[in-house]
Amino acid sequence: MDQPDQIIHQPVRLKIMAALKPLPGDEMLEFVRLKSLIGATEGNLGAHIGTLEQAGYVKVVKDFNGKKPRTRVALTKQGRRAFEDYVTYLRGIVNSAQG
Amino acid sequence: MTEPSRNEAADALRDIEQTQRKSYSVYGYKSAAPFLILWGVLWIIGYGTTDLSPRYAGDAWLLVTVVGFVGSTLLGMRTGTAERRPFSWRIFFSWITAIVFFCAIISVLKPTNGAQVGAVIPLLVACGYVILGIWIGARLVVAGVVIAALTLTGFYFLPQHFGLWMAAIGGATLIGTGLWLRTV
Repeated sequence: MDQPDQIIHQPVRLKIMAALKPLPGDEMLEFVRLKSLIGATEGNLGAHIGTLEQAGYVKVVKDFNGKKPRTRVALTKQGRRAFEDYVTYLRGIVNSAQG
Repeated sequence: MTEPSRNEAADALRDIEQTQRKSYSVYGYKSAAPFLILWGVLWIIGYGTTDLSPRYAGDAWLLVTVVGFVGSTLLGMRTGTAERRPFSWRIFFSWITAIVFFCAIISVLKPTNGAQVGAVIPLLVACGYVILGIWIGARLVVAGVVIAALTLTGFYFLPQHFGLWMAAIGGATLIGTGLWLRTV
């Protein structure tokens, strides 16, 4: 990767991707939990999730848990691969500067 | 777009690692919480019956074991998600393994009274929570240490009412810890 992935190369979006990455398989994280993990405001987080969803990096499911509306987010395969590539890119910068 | 400097890249990698660790803990807590609540209720039933109606203790513990086994398997099938997953043999055999090893330990130790059995099993469970917590997050370590401390307290200082102690304090602690894990 010569240039950083423009979608992930933004601190909040990078944190969103990092928070979703450890979830196994098709597990999803609730929006409220993601919000507390990232420490972003609801509007800000929603906007960045929208950007990631448009890029095909995350999928968003809106449903009801009992009577309460719920939004859940998960990484897509494409998002997982893009995140791994981005981490490799960052490691490359750190390692090349060390060498 | 300019390439990040080495320091910026290193900072970003550090942020990623911290966020991933926190997310892993949140997922682990969320997965463990329903099990703690279920077993808290079952402890109240099992230990409470042992202390208040000792003649039904055997039946109560049989019921607790069956409900715990089936309930835990069902909970494991929906760990971390709202969707029901297909039956998992891995979860099923995890519980079979736990039961077989508990029985093996009890058969080797040959406890002379019910309180010893009632103390050894929670201590093994507490040990499991501490080990899980070392990998997943501090709250599970706290849960394990508290359960072990309460078990030992009841066993040594309240031997006459150990069952009642484990039902009221131990069961409530498991339920409380499960609710605490859900708050993350």
